[in-house]
Amino acid sequence: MTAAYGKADKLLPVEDSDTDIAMKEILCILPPGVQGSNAYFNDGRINLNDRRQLQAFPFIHTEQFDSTDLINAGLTLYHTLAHGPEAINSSAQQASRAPASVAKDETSHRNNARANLIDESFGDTPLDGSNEGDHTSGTAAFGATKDHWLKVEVDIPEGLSPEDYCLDVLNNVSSQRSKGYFVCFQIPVEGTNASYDIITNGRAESKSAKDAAFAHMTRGKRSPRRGK
Amino acid sequence: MRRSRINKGIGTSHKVLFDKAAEFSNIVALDDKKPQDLPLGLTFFKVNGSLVDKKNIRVDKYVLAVQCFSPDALDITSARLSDDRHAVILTVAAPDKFVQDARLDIAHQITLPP
Repeated sequence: MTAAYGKADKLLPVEDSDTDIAMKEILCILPPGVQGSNAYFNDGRINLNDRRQLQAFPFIHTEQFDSTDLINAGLTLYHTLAHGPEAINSSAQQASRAPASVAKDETSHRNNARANLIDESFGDTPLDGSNEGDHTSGTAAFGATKDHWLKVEVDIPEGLSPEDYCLDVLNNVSSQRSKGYFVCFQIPVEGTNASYDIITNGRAESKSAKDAAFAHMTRGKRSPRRGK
Repeated sequence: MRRSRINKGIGTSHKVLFDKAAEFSNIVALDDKKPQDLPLGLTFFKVNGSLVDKKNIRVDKYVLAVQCFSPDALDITSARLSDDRHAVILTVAAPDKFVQDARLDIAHQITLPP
């Protein structure tokens, strides 16, 4: 392993940014025989705020957390609309008393706790609901904040606090591949001297199928030219 | 002869580097046949039969999907090819900033009801 690759594991400052967020480089080695093309990497750095580059590197925005994941972990999800800190507090107290539609058995729980649930806007919406934010669906209209609350309805193992349990669940749910945001990087494979037909995906597949069928039909047969 | 030396790129054969990647936490081997071996948050797959450019580029292309958990992290995630074009160098936010710290904050906000 060369030094150039070995030193990739380090924290870096963000270029052209006011933030002091620690960054990390991960080296992803393409499969043997595959060589990337710079056609989409341009100057070596992608500006994800550039609309043209966004077309080349589209975001895939997946669904938010599925409440089923939480129910399976013994956590009941509540949604409340709050207009300020007081409303949030009262909503939370309501949530802790009233059974939710997704609750299975209200009498079975021993530990009642509530927490803001990480959703796609987590870390972005303060509890006072003042931040309208630029996220897509975490904030309701007219200044009201849509909050998510969790109630622990499971026997928590001895020595484990509700906080620790919720953290474990959140870690587990957040690590699922189907959740969160995705950035996609297309990696064209470097071309050869051969020319390629420029056709759409569907036509390319049908053409390949047609070629394969033709090759199958003519397998073992003499070419008409060779006969001459 | 010269071309073959250039293709070796980083001083060792690419195959050796690919095989050794699993020993390093910051280096992953992208494999379209065994994508499940990638660490959480990384997905790699090949798009068959797709063409995107009229130039002489074969675009049975590969896609690397990087999972992050905050809109803020999206803006500062970037990728570039290594000089030898055998690797993609991802620059991502350190997970403690956007993932673990935020979850810890939320967990600490839990209060028992009156």
